[in-house]
Amino acid sequence: MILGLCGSDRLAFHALRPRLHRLAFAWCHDAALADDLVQETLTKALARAGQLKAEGAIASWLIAILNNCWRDHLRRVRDHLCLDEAADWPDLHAQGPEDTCSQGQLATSVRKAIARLPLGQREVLTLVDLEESSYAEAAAALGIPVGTVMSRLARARAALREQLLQGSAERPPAPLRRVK
Amino acid sequence: MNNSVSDEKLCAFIDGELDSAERQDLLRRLQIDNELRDRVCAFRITDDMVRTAYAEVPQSPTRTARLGKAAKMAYRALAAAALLAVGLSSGWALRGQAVDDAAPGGLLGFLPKNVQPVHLAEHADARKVLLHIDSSDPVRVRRALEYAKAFLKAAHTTGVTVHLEIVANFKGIDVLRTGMTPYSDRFRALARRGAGVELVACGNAVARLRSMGENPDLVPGVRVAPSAVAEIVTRLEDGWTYIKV
Repeated sequence: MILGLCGSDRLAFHALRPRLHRLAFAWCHDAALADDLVQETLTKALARAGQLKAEGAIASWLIAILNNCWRDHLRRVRDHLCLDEAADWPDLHAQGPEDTCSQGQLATSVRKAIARLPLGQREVLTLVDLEESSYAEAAAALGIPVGTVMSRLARARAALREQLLQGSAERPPAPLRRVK
Repeated sequence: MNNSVSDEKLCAFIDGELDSAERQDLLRRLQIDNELRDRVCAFRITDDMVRTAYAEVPQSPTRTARLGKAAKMAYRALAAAALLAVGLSSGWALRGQAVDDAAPGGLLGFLPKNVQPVHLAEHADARKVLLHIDSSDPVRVRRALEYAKAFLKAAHTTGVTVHLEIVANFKGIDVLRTGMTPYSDRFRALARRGAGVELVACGNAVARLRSMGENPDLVPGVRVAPSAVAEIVTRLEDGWTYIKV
């Protein structure tokens, strides 16, 4: 019920909209789909405003709803996959040539690297890096243990390092010391 | 030293999720272990790249045609953040990033052949140089001083007015702190030597010191920028030449 939200919460909704959109875009890399997901999230959030108990927890609560909407969407379009492992979805050409061009190759290659991450890793990484969520907040929003947040985040960052920075291939395994 | 640190732990360190004992322990190891420091650096750089890649996102396919100045700025910022990767000590470098040629006028003639100055703006200006130091390794600190002096000397002999900015972050911040290294007085002397020389400390590095209960105690005349990356991006946007020591 809409009346369940007090004025300041509704203001918060509006302020959070661009953040939710950015997060949704970083998950799906499809601007139109991100718009739809955010719209669906806010609609659901308004309908369930009564569930919101702790003040200041709006962001994590909305992110949790966004995550559910996103996963519902994925289930509709590819029900046979284990969602946490889903990668490469959908490809970045959907953005259109103008966007790819004006954002530059670097932004595109970073986004491609992120799109290549398994979904579970992509979500954790974007929550921590873009939303600056704490591990506990990310765990709560995604409904996974903190330990899983940590391991997925480490794997995601290592994968980006391999893809975006040179030098990783030459690096000896961690226990070895560099000679020279 | 052989006791390796997991990626999980380094991530938790970067994200401020370690308890203070673990954090102190890792900080001690970072001081002596270059490879560990490189791994932290590489993660920080990829994080910067992620943030910048989504600084501007398309709102919907129908509206993406008019991505204006903001998107270009975001791209430039990304390019600059990426350039920071070029000079990392263990040879981490951005894949596929091209670097511009050396500056005209002989002002940068002192640079060894293997050192590439970096420009970002269309009209790069060799009279405005930013030296970036992220380490307190004496070899690199002395190199910074040597470059600074050579640049100022070239300016003096050619009679050109120049601007030199020395930006310090990570461990490099120590060279701008009183009594932390034997070099702080020499940097201070450089800044006092004439107009156009400025010392800049990274605000993040200063905040990190404070959060560990240390007094940054910067030498007089040091300006604190919001962050080294922001400072470098802004300068590169303005046509400055960037040199990582």
